[in-house]
Amino acid sequence: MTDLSMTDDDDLTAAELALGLAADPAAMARRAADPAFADRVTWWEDRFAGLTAPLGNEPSGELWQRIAARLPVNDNTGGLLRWKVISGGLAAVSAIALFMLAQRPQIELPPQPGAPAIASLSGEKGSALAISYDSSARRLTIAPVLLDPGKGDAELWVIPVGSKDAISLGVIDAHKPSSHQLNPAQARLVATGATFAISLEPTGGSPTGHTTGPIVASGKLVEI
Amino acid sequence: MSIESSQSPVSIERAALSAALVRVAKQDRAALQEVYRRTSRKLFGICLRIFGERADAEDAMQEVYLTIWHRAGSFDPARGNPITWLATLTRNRAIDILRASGRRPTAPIELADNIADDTPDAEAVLIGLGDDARIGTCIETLAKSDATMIRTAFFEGTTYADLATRIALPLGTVKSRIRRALLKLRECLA
Repeated sequence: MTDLSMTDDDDLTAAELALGLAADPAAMARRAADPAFADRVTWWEDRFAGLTAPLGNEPSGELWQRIAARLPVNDNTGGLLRWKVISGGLAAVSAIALFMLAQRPQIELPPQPGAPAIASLSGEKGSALAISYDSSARRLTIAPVLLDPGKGDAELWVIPVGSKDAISLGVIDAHKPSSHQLNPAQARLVATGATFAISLEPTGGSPTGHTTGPIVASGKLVEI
Repeated sequence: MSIESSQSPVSIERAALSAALVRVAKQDRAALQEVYRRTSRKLFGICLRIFGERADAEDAMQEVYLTIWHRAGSFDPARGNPITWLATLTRNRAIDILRASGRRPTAPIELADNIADDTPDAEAVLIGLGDDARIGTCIETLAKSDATMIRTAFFEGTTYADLATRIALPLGTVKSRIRRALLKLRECLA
């Protein structure tokens, strides 16, 4: 206490603010306006932080891995809204495109050598699920991390490279890992650089063929 | 960064933590891992204190470190103590999660000695909590019930009004007791 302008009462107000004992708007405003008072709040905060000495318990060894798995790794948030707006207008176009794809003779692509590709889909609440894709087997493996479809279903979409439109890959299990065999038409859409997205849809999936609910997670497919 | 030999382990720890937070702000994953390595025991202590259950505390820890990842840019190494910044963030985040889950603690607070002792151990001092941990000693000089009220306010984000309800004492009594205890605490810490 070197600042003579601070009375005991001022200092107690600073301590109360640091502890959160009184949600006092006047004190909060004073902290912003009065450096001497702000210093006292900080002083008390620094002291109270010392109350948090370890209790002698350590978190489990794998906790860091769980945190690391939830860090955003992809450039997966930019453009999402724009894509969402456009997707409605392009839905008709994509339906035709999909129809045409489906009508093509189903030529099996030769299995592509190489490691499976993966995507980590995350949203505002962090990592939602991880996807790995084995292109030679056309097999998607989906591992939900934190995905709550509420009363409806989570639907998986792919936005192919160079496209802005989302094509449904179907409803997925939001609670446990699942494996999906893509048909050849779907497999053509899924390549490194494609973006996966999850939307929340009514039970059974989007009734319209394009996303109707919020996009809760997205991420790019990358080679590992 | 050159570290002078006169610096205490505490200030070296703080400088290292500040530097790591600055790198986290630039989305450096290895830096976040370093922050985790240096702080997980302490921050886990806060979460455990607030949730009581390991599993809940570990879930909260995930949210805490993701919040650190997103907000490291708001830490100002020139002004703030990184340990305070992290402890405050952890406490606020954990209390938010607890409230969002509808499990806001409302249980009566027994003003007896039924709360785990937080007296800092030698290891806490070694890992860089030295002078901060002095409050652990000072708070022991208060009446047990006053220490319990201050700890409860800190760890559970309780206001005077919440405390009064849970302790079943008049608001004015709680307020004057805590204010007296805070003055005593300040004397000990000075």
